[in-house]
Amino acid sequence: MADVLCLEGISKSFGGLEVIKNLSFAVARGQRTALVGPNGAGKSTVFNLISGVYPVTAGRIRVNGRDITEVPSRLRMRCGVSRSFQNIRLVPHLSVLENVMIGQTPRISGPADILYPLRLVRGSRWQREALAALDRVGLAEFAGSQAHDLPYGVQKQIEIARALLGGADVLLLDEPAAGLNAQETEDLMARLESISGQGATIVVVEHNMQFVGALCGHVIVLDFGEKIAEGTPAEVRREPRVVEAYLGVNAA
Amino acid sequence: MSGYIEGILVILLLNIVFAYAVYWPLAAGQLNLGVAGFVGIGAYASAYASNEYGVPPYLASLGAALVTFAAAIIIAVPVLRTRGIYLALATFAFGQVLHSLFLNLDVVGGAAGYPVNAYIGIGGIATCALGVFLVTLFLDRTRFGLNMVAVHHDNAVSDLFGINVRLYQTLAFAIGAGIAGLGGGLYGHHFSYIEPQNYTILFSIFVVLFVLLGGTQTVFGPLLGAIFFTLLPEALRASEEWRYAIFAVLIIGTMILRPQGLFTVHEIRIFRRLFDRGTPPGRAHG
Repeated sequence: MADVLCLEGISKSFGGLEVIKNLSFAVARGQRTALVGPNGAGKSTVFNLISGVYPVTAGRIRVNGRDITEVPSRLRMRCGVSRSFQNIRLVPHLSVLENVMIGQTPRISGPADILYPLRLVRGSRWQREALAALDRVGLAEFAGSQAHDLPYGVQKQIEIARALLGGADVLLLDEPAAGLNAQETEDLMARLESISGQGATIVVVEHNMQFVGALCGHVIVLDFGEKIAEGTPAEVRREPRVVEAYLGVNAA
Repeated sequence: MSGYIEGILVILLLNIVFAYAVYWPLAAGQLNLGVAGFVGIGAYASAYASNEYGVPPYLASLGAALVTFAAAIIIAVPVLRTRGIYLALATFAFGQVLHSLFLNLDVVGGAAGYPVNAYIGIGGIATCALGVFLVTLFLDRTRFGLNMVAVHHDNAVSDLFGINVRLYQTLAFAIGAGIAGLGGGLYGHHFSYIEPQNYTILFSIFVVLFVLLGGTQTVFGPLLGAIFFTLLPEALRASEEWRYAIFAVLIIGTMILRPQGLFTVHEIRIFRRLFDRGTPPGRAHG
C-alpha cells in the first residue's frame, strides 16, 4: 500500500457541533501535504484526531495500512505518527537536548532503557542521536540552552526535532513556519525538504501560502470541517470554492 | 560528638529522608499532605515487627518501606483520580484517617504510644539518608527522571510521546510513600517511642514547606531545604523570644525572592559553568 496515512470518512462532533464532516484523504509515502483553510476550519482538530487527543465520532484512520482508530493516544507514535504543536509545548526549564530526548520515549524497550542514566553519561547513544536530530533541523548549537531562553521560532523547530526522534513515518507539523522571519522560513523549508527526502512523510497545517506552495505538492483545503478542494497548489487556487472561502462570495 | 550536636544531626538526617518522601510526588506534580500518614504506617509496622517478631530493626525499616510503597499503590487508585488542590485535600484526608486509626489501635498502644525496644543509631540513619539521596539523584538522571519532569509539566504531551502518565504518577506517589515508611521506621527505632501525635497534618505541612522552599526543580532543593530549616531555628536560638518571628520573616522572604525555591536549575548551570571548563557538545551553553 503506497498510502502511508489514510483517513476514511472521519467525523467529529463536540456535543451537537460537528467540526469535522465526513473527511477522507490519503497521503502517499514521502509526499509533502498541506492542510489549509480559514481559521476555525478544523485543521488542528484533524491533527488531534490523527494523534488520538480526541476520539473520532465516525470513520477510520489508517497508518501504513493498519487501522489505528481505536489505538490509545499513548501508543500512536509507535504506530508511526508523530507531531508538533501549534503552541510551544516544551518543558521550559529543561535543556534543548533533554527536551528532544523526551521524543525518544516511543522507542525505548524495557527497564534497562528506562533506568539508563542518560542525563549523567555524556556521549551516550541517546545523546548522540538527539544531537543528530537537532543537527538535522540546524539547532545543534542550542543543545545545552534552556528551552525558555530561546526565541519562539527556534522553540518551534525544537519541537520538530523532538517529533523526528520518535522514529515515526508521518510527521504532523502544526504551523511550523509561524513566527519565523523570511530567512528562517527558507531554512526551514530546505530542512523539511531534506527530511522528506530521507523518507519521512510530512503533513503541515500552515497559513503561509507561499510556504505551502513552495514546499507541498499536495494541498487539502478545509472549510467548516469539510474538504472543499484537493490537488496541487495551482489546482486548488483555481477552485471557486477555495476563493470563496478565503475572500468571500462576491470575489468568486 | 556532644549529645546536642548528635541530636540535631539525627533530626537533620531524618528531615532529609522525609524531604525526599515529599519531593517524589511533587516531582510529578502532586502535593502530598498525607506524608505523615505514611511515616506513621512505617513507624508502627516496623516497630511491631521488631518488638513482636524480633525482626532486626534495619530489616524492619526496609520492610516498612516496602509496606508503605505497596499501600500507596493501592491508595493511589482513588487518590490520584483527583488533581491539584483536590489531590492535596484527598491526601490530607488520608493522613487524618490514619491519625485516628493510630489513636484507636490498641495493639500498638493507641493514644498512650508505643515503646520500641530495638535501636538504630546515628550511623544507620546517616547511611539510609545517604542511600535515599543517592537513589533519588540517580533516578533523576535516568530516562525515568526525565519522563517524570515531562509528566509534571504537561500530561497531554507526555502521553502523546508514549509516556504512561498514570504509571509515572502512581510510581512517584508510591516511591515517596516508601521513603516515608523508611523514615518512620528509622524514627521509631532511634527515639524508642512512637505516638499518634507525631503523625499529624502539622508534620506533613512542615516537610512540604521546607521542600517547596528548598526548591523542587532539582534533586538538591529538598536537601538544601532540610538543612536550612533544621539548622536555622537552632542558629537563631541566641535570641530565644524572637527566633520564630525571625524564622517566619526568613520564610516569607524566601518565598518573595526565590519563588522557585532556594536551589533551582539556574544554580546548577552556574556551578556547571564554574567547574566545567572543557565543554563537550550539548552542555556548552548557559
